[in-house]
Amino acid sequence: MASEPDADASTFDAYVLSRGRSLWRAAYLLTGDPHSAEDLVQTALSRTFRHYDGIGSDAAFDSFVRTTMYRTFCSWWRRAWRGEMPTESPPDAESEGPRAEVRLDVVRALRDLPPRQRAILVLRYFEDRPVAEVATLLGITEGTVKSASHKGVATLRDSVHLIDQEADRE
Amino acid sequence: MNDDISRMLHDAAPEGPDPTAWADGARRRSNRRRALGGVIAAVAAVALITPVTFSLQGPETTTVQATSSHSTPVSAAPGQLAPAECAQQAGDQDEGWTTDMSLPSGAVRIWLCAESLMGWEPPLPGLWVGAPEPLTIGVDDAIETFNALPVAQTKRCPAPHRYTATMVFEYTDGSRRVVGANDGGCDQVGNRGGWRSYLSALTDLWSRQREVLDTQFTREVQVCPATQSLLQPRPGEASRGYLCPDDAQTGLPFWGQRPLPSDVVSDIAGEIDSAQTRLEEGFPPDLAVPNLVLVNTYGDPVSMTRTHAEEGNPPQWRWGDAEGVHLWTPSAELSQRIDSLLQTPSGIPTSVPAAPDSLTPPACTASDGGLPDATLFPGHELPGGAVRVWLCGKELDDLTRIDTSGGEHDPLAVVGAPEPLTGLAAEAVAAFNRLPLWDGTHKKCPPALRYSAAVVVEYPGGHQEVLRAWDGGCSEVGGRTGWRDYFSTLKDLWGEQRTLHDVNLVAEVQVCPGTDSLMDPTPADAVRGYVCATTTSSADPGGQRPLPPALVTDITTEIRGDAPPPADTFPEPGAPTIVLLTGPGDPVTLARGSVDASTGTTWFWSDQHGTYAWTPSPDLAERLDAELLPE
Repeated sequence: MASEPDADASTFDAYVLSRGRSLWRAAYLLTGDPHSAEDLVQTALSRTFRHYDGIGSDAAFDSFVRTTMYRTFCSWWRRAWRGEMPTESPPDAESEGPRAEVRLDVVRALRDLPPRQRAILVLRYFEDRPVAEVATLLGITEGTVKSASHKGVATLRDSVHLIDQEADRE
Repeated sequence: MNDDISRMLHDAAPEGPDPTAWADGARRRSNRRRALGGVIAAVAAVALITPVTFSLQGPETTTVQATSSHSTPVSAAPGQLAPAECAQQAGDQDEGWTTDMSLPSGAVRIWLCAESLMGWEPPLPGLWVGAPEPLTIGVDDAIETFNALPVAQTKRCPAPHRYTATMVFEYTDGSRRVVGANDGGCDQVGNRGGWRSYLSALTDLWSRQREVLDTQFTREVQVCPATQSLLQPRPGEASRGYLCPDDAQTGLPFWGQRPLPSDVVSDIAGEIDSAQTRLEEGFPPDLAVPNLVLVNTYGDPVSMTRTHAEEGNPPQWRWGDAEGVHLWTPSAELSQRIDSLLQTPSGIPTSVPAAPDSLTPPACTASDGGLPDATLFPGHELPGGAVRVWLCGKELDDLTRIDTSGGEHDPLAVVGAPEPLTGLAAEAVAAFNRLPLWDGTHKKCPPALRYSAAVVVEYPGGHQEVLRAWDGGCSEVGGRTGWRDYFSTLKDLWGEQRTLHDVNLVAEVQVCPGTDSLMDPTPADAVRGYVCATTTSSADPGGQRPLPPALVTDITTEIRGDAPPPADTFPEPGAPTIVLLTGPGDPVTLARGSVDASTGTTWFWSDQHGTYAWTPSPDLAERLDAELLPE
């Protein structure tokens, strides 16, 4: 088949190869489910890849993809599109033993948070983004970020799932 | 302080799967998502709008049967010409461009769609549309014609000038093939050369189908400020028409299109058909107001732009098609009738229809009472064709109030503009699209202090895009930098509109215990005002009484004459306040400071730039104090 090579494909592919896992890890914390995480990452990539060339740098494009991913996640929540339902265990939980159980407890605790609060916590404490950047990325005020972050951390610390985990350790 | 939370989250996130296939998956998914969206939208819209029957046998076997009536089966949203399928497909290029790609036979429908390149080229470009209905007769001919076109040697094509076109070929199994084209000069369609001849062939096929089916497009649609069909109808075949006035000439917002009387439409069509129109080389003219948009019985619009009249000569009207640019000089009598319609007020009120009691328009209020959430993805441009723009403001949320005022008192409520930008909406969109993209990095930025804002851009059919901003941060708005400049541009546009339209807010609105405006009004421009009752009752926190008009006049006169100096203090919480309103309805709150026996009583107000102090004359101070006394 005589096909003209697409000069843009390799660079977009390279970006996905280098950043894909990092995106997926954040998406996993947001969705609490490996399949939904991949779905979320794919959705963000499919919405953004046409702009790869126009944006010009991987750092700026990465910011664009992450913004799209977090806002998509929040809009999924608003539209109740994915019908988010807590599951008892991720598919790989049993095969990974105790470590997976700890992970599951954290995921359960995160799932008890409202989705936007969850997104704020993941951005602040997993991605280590400053308050101002989180506010910009989610399109909310810094005050809301601080407030939600404060409440989210307090809820996590009081989460019955994590208290159980501590008790099990003891 | 929260290192344990950070560590916990990092431990909880697994390494993740191999992303090797994700890039290809994203490309495929983008195309599939648009195609699926088109099918869903078409089924939903057809079921709602048209009298066709359809059988749903499975997710991929939707069949739409021809209607027995003579109205065109359309899937467009109410008020819109473009079918729902086009909303999903426009702008897509064909999947998997290859030099040996051919279209398989067996398609059952073809949609012709267009996407306008809005906002990239002044003056105002218009909206391009394809056909409102799909081609169902002669589909095989369309495919054979495409496959017979010579294969192009390169995928690269110059950027489009005004539109991109998309043909969606729909097959019996529900699958679709999408072929793109544009007017950028390479004359390609998909992987073939000869877009212009192919469009001509498609136009002929649509004409044949319409003769056979005797279809009619009868719905009312938004065509102003300008809409142009790829099928290039002749103005002489118009069955209805609309006037899109030039607000600079008439003071009217051009989105308020007015149907032309049928006798004017038939006279225009008759004169154009019989008159010798002059033809010029070149591209079709930019679509700028004032416009006549003429629509034929099939729903194809053609926009005609009025040229400036030269002394002693009637104005000419211009429109473009495949042949070039046509110039038509109407008869003096018809020209006078059209001009008279252009100058006739449409009855659109210049008083602002505010929501009951509220200075905040419904478009500025989300379901939770806050501002609407941002919708525009960073890096994207606002589409053209906006009909209204709202500037919404809101005081900062609870936590920031505590941060910025020490938890002592609530700041004043903040509102945006009570009325939308209409005739200048396109300029607000273009100004946003000119802002540089946010560079994706984050520098140390100041916190927000006073307000958050939303710019709500409305399109025909009710679609909205929302940009969010606030007075802190790095001046971002909608994924771009330069909110402060953009905000200033918006205020200038509102000012221009207010000058043109003489906008006045006539409704009684709730402004106490205190409201300020993003529009930065000055008390010197006030036309009325309220005194806010000082009460400790939480049941009546916003009691307000109108100030006597003569008192408001005297206040404005003194402030105008005194040029109040900047101040570095502001009255303590609980100080008596009055709220003054300008003609368009922008509020500014004045708070009374402590009484000083030697200098008198000073009143304070703030805007985006600072705080100001004004000491009224003893007589005026006394009259103000009298108004502050409980009734």
